[in-house]
Amino acid sequence: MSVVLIGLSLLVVGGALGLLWWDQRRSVAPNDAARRAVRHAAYTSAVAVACLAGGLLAAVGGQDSGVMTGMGRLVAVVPAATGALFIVAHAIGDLTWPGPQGRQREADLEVRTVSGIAPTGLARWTWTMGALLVVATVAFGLAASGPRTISRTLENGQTYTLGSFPGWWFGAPVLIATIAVALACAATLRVIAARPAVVGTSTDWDMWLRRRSARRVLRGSQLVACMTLAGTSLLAGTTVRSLGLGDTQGFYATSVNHGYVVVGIIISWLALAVLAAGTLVALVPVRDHAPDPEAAVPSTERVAP
Amino acid sequence: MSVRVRIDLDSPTPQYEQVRAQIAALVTVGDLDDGDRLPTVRALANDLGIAPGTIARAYQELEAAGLVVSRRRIGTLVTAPPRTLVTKAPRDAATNLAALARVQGLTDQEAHDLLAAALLKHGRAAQPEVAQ
Repeated sequence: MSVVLIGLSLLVVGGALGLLWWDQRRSVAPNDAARRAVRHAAYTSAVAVACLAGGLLAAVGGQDSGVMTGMGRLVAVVPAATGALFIVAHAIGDLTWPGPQGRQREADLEVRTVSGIAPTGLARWTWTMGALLVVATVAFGLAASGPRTISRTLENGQTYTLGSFPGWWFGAPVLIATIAVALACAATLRVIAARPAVVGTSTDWDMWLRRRSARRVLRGSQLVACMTLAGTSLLAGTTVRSLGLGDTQGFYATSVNHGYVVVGIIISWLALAVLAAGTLVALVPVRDHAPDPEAAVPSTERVAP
Repeated sequence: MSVRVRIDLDSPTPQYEQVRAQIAALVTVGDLDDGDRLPTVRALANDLGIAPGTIARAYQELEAAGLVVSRRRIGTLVTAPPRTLVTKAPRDAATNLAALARVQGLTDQEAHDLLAAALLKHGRAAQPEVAQ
């Protein structure tokens, strides 16, 4: 199994790096500074993707080999932790962005905002997934009967309790990690908006490259939010379903409660849908090509006398 | 239309003064309108590859001159004062001076020196009172 896992890891990381290399090769760069900038962005994303994929695969390997057995809280925050690594790698890449060279320098008096560089739909989706994760974590925490259990009252007045359920035992670290990732994501988007403009390129081209960086940060952030939401929801759904089915063979023979079963199944399916949607949003390419420098109409430029 | 500023690292003029003078000129000629937002200190400093403190000082000087105002969460806004908007005659004269300097082949520094000499010759203008 470990050989399969290592092979899968290499395939995923290699595929992601190959995709980045191909994306860098096809990008239209109007000059050497632009080519350097595209290369810097590609290296940054390659390191970030390696951090994300490496962390997630290490967690899968840890689970598979039994090293992380009984470390449920650690498993719950692995996506957020690797997501934080992914975002920090991007932040470092953008903080070390190549600046202007030479003794004569110029800059547009252009205001660049986070809303101007982050694709609106993707940004809304990412914040929605983050908010849903917080809401779900709080809801599961409130529904739990203990730190990591959930109960239902039987007809005879006794309570039937099951675990593991994502109560506050899991919820508290997940909430903290989610907020940390959200703050890191917002801060990195600000860094991308403020990084040096690429010398000798049009505003449109420079904004295209910023949009691309922002899109990558948002894609990674929403992916880890969706993975965490899917993981906690799947655990909750499975436990609620088991709670509804009861233990007809046990010492206290419990009856089936169809309400719990249906709710559990719905939560589980929603979890899988969120995971599929997050993966799709992270991987599906978008049509946002670099402005062609040949076709670009030079903008009117005013410089102070 | 994009509005740009340029700096020359070899110029004897301090960098903050180069930035200040150009933005002031852009406001005066109307390329930057009342209410226009300027880039953040960090973004402009990154674009020019200079220290943020240099841009911050330029913005402070512009604010002291009443050409911009800094507001938290909004940023730095151009506040073109009526004084610069209504002085059409001096603006026309400055335009004529610039055109003449180009025709005569004067450098920018020589043109600036000419204006500075003329200002010196006519004495110091009365400073506007600042409310305490």
